[in-house]
Amino acid sequence: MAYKHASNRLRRDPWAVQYAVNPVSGRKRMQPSGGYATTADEIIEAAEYVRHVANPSDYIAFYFPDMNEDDYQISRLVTALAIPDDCALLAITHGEQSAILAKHGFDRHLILPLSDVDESFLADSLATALVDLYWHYPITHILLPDSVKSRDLAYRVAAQCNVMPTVSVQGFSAGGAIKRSSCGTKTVSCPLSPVMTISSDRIGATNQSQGEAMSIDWCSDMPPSAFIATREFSLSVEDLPLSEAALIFSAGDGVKDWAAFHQAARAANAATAGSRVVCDAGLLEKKRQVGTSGQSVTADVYVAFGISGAVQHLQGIAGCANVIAVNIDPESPIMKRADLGIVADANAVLKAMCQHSSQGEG
Amino acid sequence: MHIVVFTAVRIAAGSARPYRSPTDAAAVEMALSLPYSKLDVVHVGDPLNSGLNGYLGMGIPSLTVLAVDPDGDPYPAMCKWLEMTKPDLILFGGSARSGEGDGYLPYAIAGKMNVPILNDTCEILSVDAQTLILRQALPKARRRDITITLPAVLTVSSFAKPGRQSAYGKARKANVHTIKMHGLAGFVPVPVLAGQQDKPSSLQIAAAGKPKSTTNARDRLKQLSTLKTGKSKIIHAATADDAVNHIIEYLKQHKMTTE
Ligand SMILES: Cc1cc2nc3c(=O)[nH]c(=O)nc-3n(C[C@H](O)[C@H](O)[C@H](O)COP(=O)(O)OP(=O)(O)OC[C@H]3O[C@@H](n4cnc5c(N)ncnc54)[C@H](O)[C@@H]3O)c2cc1C
Ligand SMILES: Nc1ncnc2c1ncn2[C@@H]1O[C@H](COP(=O)(O)O)[C@@H](O)[C@H]1O
Repeated sequence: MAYKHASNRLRRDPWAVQYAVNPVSGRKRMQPSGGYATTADEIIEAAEYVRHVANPSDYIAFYFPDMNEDDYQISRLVTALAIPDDCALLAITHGEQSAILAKHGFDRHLILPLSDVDESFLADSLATALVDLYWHYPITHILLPDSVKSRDLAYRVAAQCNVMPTVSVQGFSAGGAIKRSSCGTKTVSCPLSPVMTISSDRIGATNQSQGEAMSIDWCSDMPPSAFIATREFSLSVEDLPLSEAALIFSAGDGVKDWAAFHQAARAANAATAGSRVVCDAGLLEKKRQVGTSGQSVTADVYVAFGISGAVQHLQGIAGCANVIAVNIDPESPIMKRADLGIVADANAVLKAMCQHSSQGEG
Repeated sequence: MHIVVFTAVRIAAGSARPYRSPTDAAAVEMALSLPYSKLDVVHVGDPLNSGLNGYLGMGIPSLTVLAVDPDGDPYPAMCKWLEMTKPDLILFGGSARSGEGDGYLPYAIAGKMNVPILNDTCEILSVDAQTLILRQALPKARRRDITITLPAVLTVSSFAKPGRQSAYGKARKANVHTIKMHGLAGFVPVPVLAGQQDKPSSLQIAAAGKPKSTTNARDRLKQLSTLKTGKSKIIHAATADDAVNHIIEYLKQHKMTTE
């Protein structure tokens, strides 16, 4: 098993560059998309020793909102460095996870319980809690994942501490934090800030030591929030801009049974989209076209029915985490892009899906 | 209700032409829909910037420009001006990730003024004296309704109603009100470091102590050749039902069905 994003996409390992030999010139060429990161278990097997920090003089704190592999992976950025013996790596989570945290190299573990705060606006009170911690322990840095949610939290913490945060950090050097320049092509060095978000896409496998993940106490209630969250909901698929859809059923020229296509999508609560061929033919609205001359989508799962997978179409689904393709032609290009390719008649499959869902209701 | 909207001018990467920021225009649009007693649309920078026409043409009564050096940090001028005007509601755009800035400015301002901030507002549902109910856009097409009490700072989501088109005639008629900002020395930009920095950071020491890698380049290359790649799984479905089961199983694995 290879490392996956929270969205379950296979994680590209930037270190895992593979080389291909150009048959004409005989020169080596990098193929950056070659490899995938090894799993946590594989790395942990390679761990050399258990670190023991008796009396930490300072802490580097990691905040893990979701406690998943993707979160923990950002710790590898730090454990690959030569951390001083009296500096403890502290994991801040919302639940019990000490065993796995130890494996990921954490020396200390602190749980911020979240019960009884569901009615309030979390980021606000969480930020205050993290700032309290920051001042109470000698924490020199708080590192967070680089998600939308965590970045908001990082900014709140930074603003309360009156410091400039450094976001989307990809590594550290003696000169400071390394991140991508705003034009995206070069890396630049930025000052180390007390509050930083780590973009985990670029973290490769390293051998690391294990920690002890000893619990430390923090018996404070969650601070109050200035906001009251009254209701949280998902947009219905009809209201959804395609770019926001998590599940998309997409139709190509292979789809003939449009009633079944729409019914199956509705049953699965999927947004509908299509290739240029079907949108040009007026079978779907133009705004539902995916591809170079249409929209780019970032669905967690993109199901392509009867789509050949022309490059112009594939460009539009580059950001999709998982692709399922249903096509009668096992050689069609979409099958190479697909995580799951099913060789079958799309119309028969759509019809069977409708039957399946109506049975489910009955 | 006194509303302030801060509007930046972005520079197009290719042509270097200035244009209005889409989320800032959406923030102006949001403000125009509210029952304000006073509305200040404020830009910090050069009053002659042609990118400001994009806002002037939206039918706003006037635009206030806090004049600072073209490359100056807008933060000190904003702080000083807000301290004088004390608005109830402050709107920022700019949570779109593509901008030059990182979008920290609204948080720094909210922190400085000690008022709560809410990110990614996409709609204001109701206004009742000092209480607002608004809708926040969350990732993955989720929305959340939140009640807040003024004063507050909001950043506007790219999913908010877009700003109306700018009309040339309106842009010509709108007046620009320039305020020369002086005495900003008391409002220094946000420092990078704070507090517990009496010794060098452990991260700095750690990074200087690199490399800790126990493998050499050749070992790593060898390791790579044994790494798995994300290969697709191709199934020749015997029947349509068989295919459906595979799809449903996959969707379940990825938490895409409620069944
Ligand atoms: C400048 C330019 C821009 C373009 N922009 C876009 C764009 O934005 N979006 C886009 O989609 N295209 C775009 N195209 C067009 C693109 O090149 C392809 O022509 C198009 O994507 C093909 O659509 P398709 O896969 O639906 O049809 P086809 O290529 O005709 O493929 C149909 C597929 O369905 C399969 N099939 C047939 N019957 C069945 C069945 N019963 N069950 C299952 N499978 C079946 C076939 O095996 C085939 O693979 C662009 C082209 C150009 C030149
Ligand atoms: N020069 C400026 N004048 C007024 N508002 C600004 C200026 N720069 C940034 N802003 C506001 O701050 C937000 C975030 O900007 P940025 O930090 O550049 O992403 C923008 O959307 C604007 O609302």
